[in-house]
Amino acid sequence: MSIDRTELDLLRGALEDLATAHPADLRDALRDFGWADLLVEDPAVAVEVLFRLQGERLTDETLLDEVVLAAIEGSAAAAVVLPLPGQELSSRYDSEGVRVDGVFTRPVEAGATVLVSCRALGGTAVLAVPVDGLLQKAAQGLDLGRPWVRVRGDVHPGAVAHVGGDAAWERMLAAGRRALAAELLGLGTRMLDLAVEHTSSRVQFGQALATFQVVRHKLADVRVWGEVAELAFAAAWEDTDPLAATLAKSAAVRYTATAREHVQQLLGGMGFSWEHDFHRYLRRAIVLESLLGGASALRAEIGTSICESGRLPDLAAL
Amino acid sequence: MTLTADTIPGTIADVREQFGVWLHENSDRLRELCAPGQDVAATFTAQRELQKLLFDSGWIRLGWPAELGGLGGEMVLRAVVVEELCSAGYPPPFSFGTQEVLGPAIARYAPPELAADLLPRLLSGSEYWCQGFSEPGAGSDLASLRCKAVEDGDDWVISGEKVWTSWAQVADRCLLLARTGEPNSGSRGITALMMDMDTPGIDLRPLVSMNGDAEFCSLYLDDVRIPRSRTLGEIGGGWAVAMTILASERGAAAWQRQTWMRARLHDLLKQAPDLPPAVAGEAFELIHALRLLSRRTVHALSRGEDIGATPSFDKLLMSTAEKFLFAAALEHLGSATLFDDDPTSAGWRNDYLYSRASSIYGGAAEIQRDIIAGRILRLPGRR
Ligand SMILES: Cc1cc2nc3c(=O)[nH]c(=O)nc-3n(C[C@H](O)[C@H](O)[C@H](O)COP(=O)(O)OP(=O)(O)OC[C@H]3O[C@@H](n4cnc5c(N)ncnc54)[C@H](O)[C@@H]3O)c2cc1C
Repeated sequence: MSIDRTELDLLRGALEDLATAHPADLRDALRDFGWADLLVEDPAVAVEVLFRLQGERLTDETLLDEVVLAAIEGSAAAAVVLPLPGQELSSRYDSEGVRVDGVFTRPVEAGATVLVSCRALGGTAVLAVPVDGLLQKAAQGLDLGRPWVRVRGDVHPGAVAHVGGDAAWERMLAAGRRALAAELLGLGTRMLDLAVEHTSSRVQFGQALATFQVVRHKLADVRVWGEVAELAFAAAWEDTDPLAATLAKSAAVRYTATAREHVQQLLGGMGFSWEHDFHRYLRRAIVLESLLGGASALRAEIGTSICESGRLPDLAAL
Repeated sequence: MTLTADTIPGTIADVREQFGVWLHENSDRLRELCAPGQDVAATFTAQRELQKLLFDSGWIRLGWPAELGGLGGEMVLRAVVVEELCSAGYPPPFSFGTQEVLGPAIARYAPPELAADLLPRLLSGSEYWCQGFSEPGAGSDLASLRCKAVEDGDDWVISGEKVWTSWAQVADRCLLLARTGEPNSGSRGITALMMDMDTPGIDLRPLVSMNGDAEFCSLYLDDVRIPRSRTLGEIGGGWAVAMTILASERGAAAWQRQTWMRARLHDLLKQAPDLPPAVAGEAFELIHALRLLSRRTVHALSRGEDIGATPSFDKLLMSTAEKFLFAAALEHLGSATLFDDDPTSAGWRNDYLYSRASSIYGGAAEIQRDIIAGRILRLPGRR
């Protein structure tokens, strides 16, 4: 299915209305709206529109689990244990069972099955495990609003169902990275807007801050990485190579990391105050940047793949 | 195989496939022409021949209109040719860059007979052209240029000075910007002219660039006569011509630069086994970013769309990627790049040194940021 500009705008408008009307139960509202069908029919549009919106609106809820789960067929799991930032895979699987150590995007109800990707003999194992018996602990930490959960525990080998290996995890990872890239695009754009508005209206030394070249150049730098991140995100849907998704996430991370740095500086004292929204964007951005591969991990991953193969992939052909 | 207007490949995939066959059939000759030259004159001779070979066989005539020496078709087809040439291991001649930089402006602004006469010479490699924009007093602030053109009968009479004119010593013609308006007429009083380099009154002094090449020249112009028929665009309309050229340089020519950087990163992977993966990854990421930007520009130009200020993104990424790549090479190739004089080490050294200019020529990085701030972010200007 391909969707044209007007339809895209309509969809965007509809989802925006939904997000406004349902700040606390966006996932339920989206289910009624039929977002899951859209994700099947046109994943690029579904992810683009929704996750950008999640970023712009700093939504408490996220549909990251749904997107990651949709990347593999036939999984009835309710949620995904995300690896801890800083580690490729933070859960382990061996003959003794699974040692789960990771993060949920929200508390998972008792009785549910969840997917966990593990370091296992011979590579990655994607496993379905019961959530019961795992310890869930609210972990708001740096981010505000989103109900992150730290999840830990051991699962007996008998309770583990094998879902997939390296290939499955690769697809899930790519799907998750594309979604996170879109959300970061939303965050970056909002941060940049805040700084453009502020520096264009605030007067010091008799002129708007945005007339000073140092200020202009910082904003231009943020804008450059935003442009690159937009193109990398769009290109992540055209190649099946998961590297395209890695590059999209990496570009998005560069965008928000540059935005966090420059925008905060240009907001001055206001950007350091609790009541200004900036810090909410910064907090959310740092957490999302680090999930499923932060800046240095992503670059090392890209580098390892080209160093090992000795060739550069032909992504983004003319 | 020689392409004609009736047999040009219709799609990008066709060009890729058929040009690949051609490359294979002509590999002996190509290797000869791409061997590193001993000096500037030999390099230029080899490059002209390479260009002639590609012109005669039709490949680099793709995307130029028939009346200007081309074979028609979309411009993007030509971008494929350069890419394939590069990924087969042949360095794209930098004269290709000149075609992409100056060619579109000639096609658009030269009087039709003049364009039909001159452009095929540039495309076929029988001539090399240079770009006379910068002056000692006018670099980033190009609109303040002072080199003067005064009408006299059927001629313009030029007096003034140009500097940093790349490869003027081997050039047959120069695309010159001169002031035809009042001294303080800024960008409104500039006219673009096509000057033959063998015209009396041109005193040319070579300048050596920091990588040791006789890269550019100073031009002292003393009552140089250029026929009025060599005017490009409107009198006083030279700024539009210059902007077309700068957009081509920042945009379409960046595509070639990107294919070349990919080839150099590939070399680096082979030659620097200790290159840290994160550094290789970041180099790839930056080159890929340039690729995404300039791919968009190439497609837009190919469709004849207005690209506005977006080539400033391309230019910034071009210098960011190029500087990162060659700094990484210098750091991780080991001591040979610092101390040895074999061609490979000298090549890396040269590319590193040249990369330092990438944020200066074609509009300094600061100028690109100014453009993005003003025209894309629309930040308020100084009162
Ligand atoms: C390798 C090479 C090849 C070249 N080839 C050609 C050629 O073929 N034809 C030709 O006409 N020219 C050529 N040039 C000249 C080139 O276009 C100029 O060097 C460039 O436009 C900068 O001008 P400038 O050197 O006078 O520097 P200046 O304008 O004096 O600027 C010096 C530095 O000051 C900073 N700066 C300047 N203006 C501003 C501003 N408004 N705000 C903030 N910072 C600013 C920038 O960092 C800039 O690099 C070439 C240059 C190089 C290095």
